[in-house]
Order: sequence, then C-alpha cells, then structure tokens
Amino acid sequence: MSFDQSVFINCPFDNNYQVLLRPLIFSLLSFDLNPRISETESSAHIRIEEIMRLIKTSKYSIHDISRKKALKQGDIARFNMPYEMGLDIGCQKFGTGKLKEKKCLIFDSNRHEYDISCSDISGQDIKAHNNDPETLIVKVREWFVRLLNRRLPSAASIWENYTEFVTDMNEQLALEGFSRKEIASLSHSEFIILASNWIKESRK
Amino acid sequence: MTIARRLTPKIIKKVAEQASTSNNRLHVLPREGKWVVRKDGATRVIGIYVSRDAALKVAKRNKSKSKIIVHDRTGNIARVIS
Repeated sequence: MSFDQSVFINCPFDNNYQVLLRPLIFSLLSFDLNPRISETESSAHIRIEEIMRLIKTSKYSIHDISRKKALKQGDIARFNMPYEMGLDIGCQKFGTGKLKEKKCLIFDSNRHEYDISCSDISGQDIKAHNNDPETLIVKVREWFVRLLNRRLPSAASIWENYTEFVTDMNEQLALEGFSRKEIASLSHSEFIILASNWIKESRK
Repeated sequence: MTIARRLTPKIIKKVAEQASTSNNRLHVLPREGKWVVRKDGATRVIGIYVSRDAALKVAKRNKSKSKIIVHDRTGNIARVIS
C-alpha cells in the first residue's frame, strides 16, 4: 500500500461515532485514498504496535479528539486519541526522510475547544465537525484539495453518493439475509471493501 | 443460536453492481441545512426545500413506479415509501 495514498484514521470506535466514521471513509475512498484503521482487539501492547506501524506507513493522518471528554455523567474521558495523535506528530517532528512529509488534520467537535483541553496543538490544522457528517465531509475535502493539488469531487456529490451507497448496501445486504444489526456492525474493513467497490462501479 | 453472516466476494460484487443499476428511486436527504430531492445517480437534484415535509411532498408528486428513500441527518435510511 502506497505511503502517499494512505490515511491513518485515529478516532473512537463506538457505535455513536459510526455516523461520522463511515462518511469519512467514503470521502477518502472518493479521493482515491486508502483509509487505514486499527481493528486489533488484542492486548494493548499489540494494538499500539499496530498503530505505530500505520502511523509510519501513512503520509496523512486524521485525528478526531472530540471524545476526549466524557459524553455524559459517569462516563470516563478517553485519552487514546490524543495519545495516538501525539505519537503521530512526534513521528513527523523527529522522523527522517519521507516521515518529514507527513501531514495531519485534527478534528474536534467544537471550534477552539482544544484551546482549553490541549492548547499545545494550536498551530496544527484543526477543524470542527460539529458532530455533523456533512460538515466533516466539507472540511476533509477542503484539507485534501489544498494538499493533493488535483480535482476532487464536490462535498455535495460525495454526500449524495454516500446516501445512495447506504441505500444500496442496506437493500442488497438485507436481500442476502443480513439483519439490520449485522449491517450496522460490519467491521471497518468490510465497510471499506463494500464502499470502494461501489465507488469503482459508479465511475464506469 | 444465530450465525453472523459472512460478506463473500459474491455479495460484495452484488452491492457494487447496484451503483450502475437503474433502481429508479427518489432520495429525500438533508443538504446544507435544507432538504433535497434527488433521483438515483443524478448529477443534479430535482429541487431544494426548506423542510423535509416540503421535499417529501415534491418526491411523492414525482413518484411513478419508484420508491422514496427518506434519509436522516446522518445519511442513514429513516423511512422507505414504496
């Protein structure tokens, strides 16, 4: 897998985040990029080794630190995303050769929330998605348009195609006997395979 | 006991083929704070409306043999009108 086309995604993997993650993956595939996500559920040691491998072999990274605070009373704030973001920025700062070319985009749910919680990252490319998939697609596209220096599909067309793909995926998988629960819990790699094949076919 | 279904290459291909199949559906979906009505595969939308109800009304008027897919703000399917 090419370094120049790989995008490491560092984000929460809970069901609540899926409404942002799936449109994000679909957008990257629409830009002919390779989204890469750790799906390792083994020990913390193996997981972090896998994440470091993804960081070292991906030119681009997208970090979503919007879940760094507890969503409701009683929840525990999660620091895996800020930790992995630190590893990625460190890789770019202290790495050599092509690692110096690494670029990262940081998402938070609200503008400048990071100023309070993680002020050391000011100066990086930080955007707010407002927990809205359409906004996320617009911001991701804006960022890649600047970096890739080539024509990309519009944010509106990506969003419209995404809704059409979701319909096709749900209808076809239901015909194949998949339950709604099974469709909702497809792994990231399964979703990537389905979406990338659908996008290729839609271009014919 | 329920056995989780496997995503086989054949199923992946069938989903992909839907991208180039004329399903003749109308989609009602949110876009930039408004609601649009769009036909499958169309590059231009049928119209842009201030509310989902207004968009749905137009979709129902345009519906012939097709079905209407109403999406929620996450892009997922909220309702199917056959």
